[in-house]
Amino acid sequence: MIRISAEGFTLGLAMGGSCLVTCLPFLLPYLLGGNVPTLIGRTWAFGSFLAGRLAAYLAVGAFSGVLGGLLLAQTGKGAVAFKGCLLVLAGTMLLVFSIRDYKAATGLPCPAASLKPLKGWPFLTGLVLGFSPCAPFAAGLAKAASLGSPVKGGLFFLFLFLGTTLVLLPAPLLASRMRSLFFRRIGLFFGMVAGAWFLVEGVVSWF
Amino acid sequence: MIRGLILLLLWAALAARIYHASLPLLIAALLWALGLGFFYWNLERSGKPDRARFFYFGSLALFFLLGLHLRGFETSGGPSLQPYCHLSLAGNMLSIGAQQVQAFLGGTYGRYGVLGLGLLWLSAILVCGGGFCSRICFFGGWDDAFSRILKKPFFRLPSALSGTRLREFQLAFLLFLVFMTYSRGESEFCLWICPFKSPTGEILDPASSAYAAQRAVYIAVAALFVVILPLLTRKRTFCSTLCPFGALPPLIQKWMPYQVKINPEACNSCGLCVAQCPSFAIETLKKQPAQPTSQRKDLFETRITRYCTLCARCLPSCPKEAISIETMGRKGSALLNFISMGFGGALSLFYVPPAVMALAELVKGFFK
Repeated sequence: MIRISAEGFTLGLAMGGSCLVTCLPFLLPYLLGGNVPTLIGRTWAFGSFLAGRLAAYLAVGAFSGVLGGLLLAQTGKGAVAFKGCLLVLAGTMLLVFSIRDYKAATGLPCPAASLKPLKGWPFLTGLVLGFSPCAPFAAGLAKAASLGSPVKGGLFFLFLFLGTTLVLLPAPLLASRMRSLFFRRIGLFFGMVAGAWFLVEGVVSWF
Repeated sequence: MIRGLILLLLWAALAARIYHASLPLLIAALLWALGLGFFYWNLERSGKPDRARFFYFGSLALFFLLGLHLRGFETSGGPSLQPYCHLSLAGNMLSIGAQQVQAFLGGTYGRYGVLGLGLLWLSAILVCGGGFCSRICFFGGWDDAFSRILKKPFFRLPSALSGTRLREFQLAFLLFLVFMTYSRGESEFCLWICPFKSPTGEILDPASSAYAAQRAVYIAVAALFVVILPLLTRKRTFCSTLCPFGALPPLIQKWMPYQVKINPEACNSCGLCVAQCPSFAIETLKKQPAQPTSQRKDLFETRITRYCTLCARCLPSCPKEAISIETMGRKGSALLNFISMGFGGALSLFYVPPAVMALAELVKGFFK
């Protein structure tokens, strides 16, 4: 068990940089935008995001441990289409969140302002992202599938999560320094661009 | 006069250094250097600085795209060194930095070429600030040109999509491109957005499943942001919203020695300059007057923001002549003209002569 944990953690550490640049486009709008200007607020949004990611990783770890090699055979168009669905979902959430908060940040009228935000959008985004195949995910999946046990698979992915999360930890602290309306608008515009981009990318991947 | 001669000598020397092995190219380069001299003289003497600037700026854009399209850089025998595209470089900066660190740690320094050119573009921003976007960039002349065709805008952008906040979108877009390019390992801007490869489209991979989508997107960007929107709104919409490099000069423009200033005593916040500015760089803010007043001058304040590209289009629009270009607090743009044309002119010597030769070859072939 210790060896599995250590392997997961070190793989996560090695892939941490990749995780940072993959996750940040999804995380930044929640950290800079939204009505959470305090460090506590941003930490809460960040923590929700990580919790979603953790839930996804644990599920994948346990699942891949049970099915073993069957998962490794699922490559190609199926995996691409699945990832496309996740991108569309995450992109849509980012887009709606950012457009809705644009009114608050800029004082301008916006038709989406009347939409009630789902509490826990950062959690949902983290959850969706956690299921999305990326470099650490693929590497972890191959290893977890070979373990043949949901507990071992879940444990491996838990420590993979911890290793990859280490580089993300300074994010809310840095974001708390950027409280002005300027950074908030930057965060929201970033969310709009990211949301639209991933939405289009997800749709394109289906064809 | 002396400044013009200094520039002419510099350009001629550079032309000789670059094209000493090819007489036709050397002649083309020297002729272009003379042309640059004329542009500089016109800029210094003209009572319409914006028009004089555009005459030169538009020529850069025309020749560069001509050369790119006609493959003048590869077939004319000119130097193999091309300006490494600054639009691409802005989005790639994290990737290139990481590669350079890896090269350094690995004991190989093979990325110097890219890094060197990156430093070139950085120097351009450091010496010209926002003036890069209206005096050096060889792409900006296109949407600048289309934004001048109509005398009045066909429609005005809604307030939610105009003003200086639109320029903040540009910075957010750059940040996104930097992250995506680094995480994907390929230049997302070049693949999906860049409208200036429309004539060539050479960097796309036809075997890629996203090929059709990429082509559709960049052609749509070219049509909408470089041609249609500038034409109808009289704004440089690509340069102000999607250009990744254009997000960088505003970060340092407020520290540059040359600034466009509004005399608050003369200005009555009529808003004519705001409408004229093609770069969304002028804003009108509400003031809190000490006493109740109906004077617009006391209720509003118009100011030039850091997004100014020093194009001077606002200068003639002010009925009170309240706007001027200042250099270190004194009226005048001599230093800006000298540095921007010196830098831009030197750079143009790399791509204009090969473009001219390629065009000459094309014409010659047409008449054969």
